[in-house]
Amino acid sequence: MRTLVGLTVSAIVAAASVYAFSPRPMPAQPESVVRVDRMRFNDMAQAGPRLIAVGERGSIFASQDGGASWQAQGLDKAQSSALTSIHFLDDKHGIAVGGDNWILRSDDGGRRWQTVRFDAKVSEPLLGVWGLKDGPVFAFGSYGRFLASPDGGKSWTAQDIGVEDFHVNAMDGGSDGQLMLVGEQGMAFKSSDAGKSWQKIPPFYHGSLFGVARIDAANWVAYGMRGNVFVSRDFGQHWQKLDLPLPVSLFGHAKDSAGRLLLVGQGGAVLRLAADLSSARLLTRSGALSLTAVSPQPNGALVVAGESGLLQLAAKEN
Amino acid sequence: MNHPSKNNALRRMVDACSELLFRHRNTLLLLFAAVTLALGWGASQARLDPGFNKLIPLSHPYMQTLSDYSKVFSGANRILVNVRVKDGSDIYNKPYMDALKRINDEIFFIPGVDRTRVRSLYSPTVRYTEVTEEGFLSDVVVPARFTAQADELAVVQRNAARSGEIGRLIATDQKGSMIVADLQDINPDTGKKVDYAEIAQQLEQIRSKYGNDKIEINIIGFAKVVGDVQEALGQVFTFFGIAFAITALLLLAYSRSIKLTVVALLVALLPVVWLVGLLPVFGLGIDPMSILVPFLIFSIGVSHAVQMTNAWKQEVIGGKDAREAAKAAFRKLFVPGSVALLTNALGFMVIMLIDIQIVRELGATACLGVTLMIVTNKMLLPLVLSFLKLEPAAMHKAAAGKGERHAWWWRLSGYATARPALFSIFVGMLLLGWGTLESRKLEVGDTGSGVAELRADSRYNLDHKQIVGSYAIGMDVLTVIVESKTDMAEGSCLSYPLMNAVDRFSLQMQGVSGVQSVVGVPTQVKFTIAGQNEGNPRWAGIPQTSEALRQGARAMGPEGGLSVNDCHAMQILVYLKDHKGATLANVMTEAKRFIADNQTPGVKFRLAGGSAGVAAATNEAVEHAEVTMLLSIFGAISLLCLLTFRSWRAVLCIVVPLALVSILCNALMAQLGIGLKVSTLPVIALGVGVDYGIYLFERIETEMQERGLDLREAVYEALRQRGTAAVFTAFTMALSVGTWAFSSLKFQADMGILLAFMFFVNVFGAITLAPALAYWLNLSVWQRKTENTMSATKAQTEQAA
Repeated sequence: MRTLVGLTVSAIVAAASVYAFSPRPMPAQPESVVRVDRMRFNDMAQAGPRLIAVGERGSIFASQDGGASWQAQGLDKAQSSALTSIHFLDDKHGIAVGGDNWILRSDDGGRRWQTVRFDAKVSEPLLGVWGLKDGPVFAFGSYGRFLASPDGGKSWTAQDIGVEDFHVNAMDGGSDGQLMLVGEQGMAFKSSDAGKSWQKIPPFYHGSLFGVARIDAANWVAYGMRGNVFVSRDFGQHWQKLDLPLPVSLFGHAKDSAGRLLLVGQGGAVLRLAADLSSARLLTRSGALSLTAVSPQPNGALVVAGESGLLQLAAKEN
Repeated sequence: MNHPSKNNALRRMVDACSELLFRHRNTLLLLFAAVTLALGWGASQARLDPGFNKLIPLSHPYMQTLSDYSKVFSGANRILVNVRVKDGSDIYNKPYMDALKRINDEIFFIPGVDRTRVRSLYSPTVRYTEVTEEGFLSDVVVPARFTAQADELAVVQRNAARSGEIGRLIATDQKGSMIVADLQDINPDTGKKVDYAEIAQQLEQIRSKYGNDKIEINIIGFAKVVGDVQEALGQVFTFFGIAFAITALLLLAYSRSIKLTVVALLVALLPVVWLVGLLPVFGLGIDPMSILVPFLIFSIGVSHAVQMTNAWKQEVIGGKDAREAAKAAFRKLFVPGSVALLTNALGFMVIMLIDIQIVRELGATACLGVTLMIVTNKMLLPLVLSFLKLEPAAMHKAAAGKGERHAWWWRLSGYATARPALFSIFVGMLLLGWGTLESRKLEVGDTGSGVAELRADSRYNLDHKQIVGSYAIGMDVLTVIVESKTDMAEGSCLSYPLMNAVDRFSLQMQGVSGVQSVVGVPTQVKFTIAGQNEGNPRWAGIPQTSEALRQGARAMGPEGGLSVNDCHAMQILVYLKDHKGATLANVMTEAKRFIADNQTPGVKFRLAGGSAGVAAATNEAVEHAEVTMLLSIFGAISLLCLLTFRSWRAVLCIVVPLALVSILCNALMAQLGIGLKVSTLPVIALGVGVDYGIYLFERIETEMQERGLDLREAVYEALRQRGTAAVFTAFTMALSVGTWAFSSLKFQADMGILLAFMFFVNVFGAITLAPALAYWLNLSVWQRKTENTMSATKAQTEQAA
């Protein structure tokens, strides 16, 4: 009987030892996530209250809270190609384009995306997409690639508008049918009939233009490499170079709540043009890498996208 | 009756040995003196033998990968010097740029630095690429004939932004920039092995020369760690000195005899001298990491020496002369002492199975030391004692309490009776429950960031923190090797499946907790393709055809350090925020999971090199080793105890408290945030404290069998005769190793705390829990058997008469 007590104690210690020295669980680590602050993002667009960003390896993320948190959105077939541009025709209908001639569209405000086109045989990227709700939609990109869709992005046909094999980088326009596109080596075209016909704008710059912004029917801004920003007050007839505080290349733009143009680019630079387009000032330089897109939020803060991911910049004086 | 007769045989053998030993005592003493002289000379020749490779589990699969590619992808032995502005400005000002230039030049000329690989803003290899209206423009970041004029500074700032070096060579906040240098193994000027300590010293000089209230300099790298640890090693000897002094003082206070104190200390020191002298014979050296082993040998030696001198003293007080007393002490202690030492030795021998060279060396060293101790402690010490004459003061003090019961020990021996025993067991079970749960929280590997050998607030670790905080890279890098096969004539470089697999892996790892940044060939390819297209970041992707990939070919060559010529092997650098065990385990698990889930034909991911790969492999080996080691040590203890006592009851009485203490030790480590690693693993294995139980139960057995005492009386006798020495040793050793907690070397501090705990708690278990278990395991059977034997012997004697 006595021995039994001792044996029980010994058995308990033995069992405890086995448990104590059996493989130990590691302290729980935060789960692996997709780090939107470490991926490349190329463009952003607003779909109603939702901000949608597209970037490397076909990633599409949406934020409902002004860029504080981001959720991955669904697409029918994942590709390794980067998405380069996104454009919403209204709150529901959006189109995204990317590498390897990839075109995606969404009918539900960017929640689910369907592949419309994909062609990896040539492996050349589309670089931009632009269109109007009830008008034509254009997708364009490397080596003069230019596609038009009459049905909001469902079907696409290639067009030759005379851009030869220069990269077409960006397009902007209005419902009045006045459009403008810019590209490699200072190439610029404009259309007054919603893209039915295009006229070449006489060269005003020999470097690449990465973006064009329509302020109103007459006033346009085109921007490109190394601090080259040009203003036209007569729908592209004449262009005037703007003096910039920083000679950085610029890759994206948006308008703030007061309608002033924001430009973003190399070195994390965010510039703001005066309302009369006469001057530009540097708002922030947030880091080393390039920014590709900016989206002003109602609270005055900015969401920026770029080589170092998506981040919020605090509201600054206006 | 089988057992007593065998024990008698053993006893007769011990008696014979003692006769032999003491008959030739002069010859033997002379021989020992000669050996000591010879080995002492050898010991004075012993040198520190640090080695990075010793810490690596070489047969671990990760380390196979590492050794397969260590020649191809170098850069492991790198020093990073961060020059940082202290005020709110940035680096683009004249004082900073001038200081950077001078520091750069000084580092460039440090012997052992590979001058072709020094990188800083001033290096010709640090270039920016800009796409201008006219085409590509690539130039050095800091222009030639730079004199830091305002306009030049603006140019540098612009170039820096376009160099892709922000986060790597330039701090993310642009308040600092780095000088990166690779060290060579052999200095080509002198043909000698590069001395890390010397380099560390030179770096330290640079720091004191240029660091001021405006500029701060942070230095990290393996060479600097070695330098800092070696510098702190001087301190280790100071701590040994302190421990030695404490032991001496307490020993003197306890024995009241200078002679006994000196003899015990010298004899305890002897195996250390022999050991260090013998090491070169076996081709071993003392590694900074195992420098504590000699001290452990010393402390185990003190423990046994105190037992021996104490037994001798008791015999002298009992009326014997020095020689007879020494003989008696030898006869009484030879068996239990040797068993305890053999147990240790056997345990150490099994450690050698573990696949980390430093642990093997530690096992071999300790095994040798403990074996030597059987000679010095069990043979030499009694011989020395036989020449000794105890001081009257010591005699007097010891004799004072003679005859009457020692109240304290008598009360303690009460644990060998029913109710107190239950109480003791109850407390033990409570501790067991707490300890078991707590021990589950023990972490394998490092628990802090920075270098674990040094304290968290050491200069090195503060520097490390600063650099990790302001750059996207650091010292904790995990390299993953990607091997690929292809039929393409130009090699794998333009293979989309390969680039895609690596790119996916990189993106996946970016999101793993603990990962700071990931750099691989695709990272550079994207950068290059964008560069080829007017620097437009929207081009930065991995296109799906070889033709399109060709635009990024410039980034695929071996000069980038990320791939070999035809890309059949590439490396991915995963920079981690630290090398804590948990971080590493998480990163490795995630990497393995991705690799298993995403097989690409012809592409093979191999883990893992880099400092983090080494650490991960070591952690896995240590974790694996822990159980093996415990099993072998407890196996050895059980086996030897069983052979000695021939009673499973006694074995349980000794082993159960030891098991409890091992669990509590793990719990303590978890509580104090001490990780299980190469430097702390051996503490449990060192088996300090085994001897207490063995000495006590040998006495209990003898008292019960020879004098027919009941359990409680026998426990009392054992405690009175052996307990004092055991408690004294535990207290002394715990106090002296406890001082290590103040060491600036983290691993010494950790070891000190753990050893102090082991010394102390083991003796506590041996004097309170073991007797309680003896009662409830019914060890009283020892007595019954003996009564029979005793009466039989009595009858024999009577017959003979």
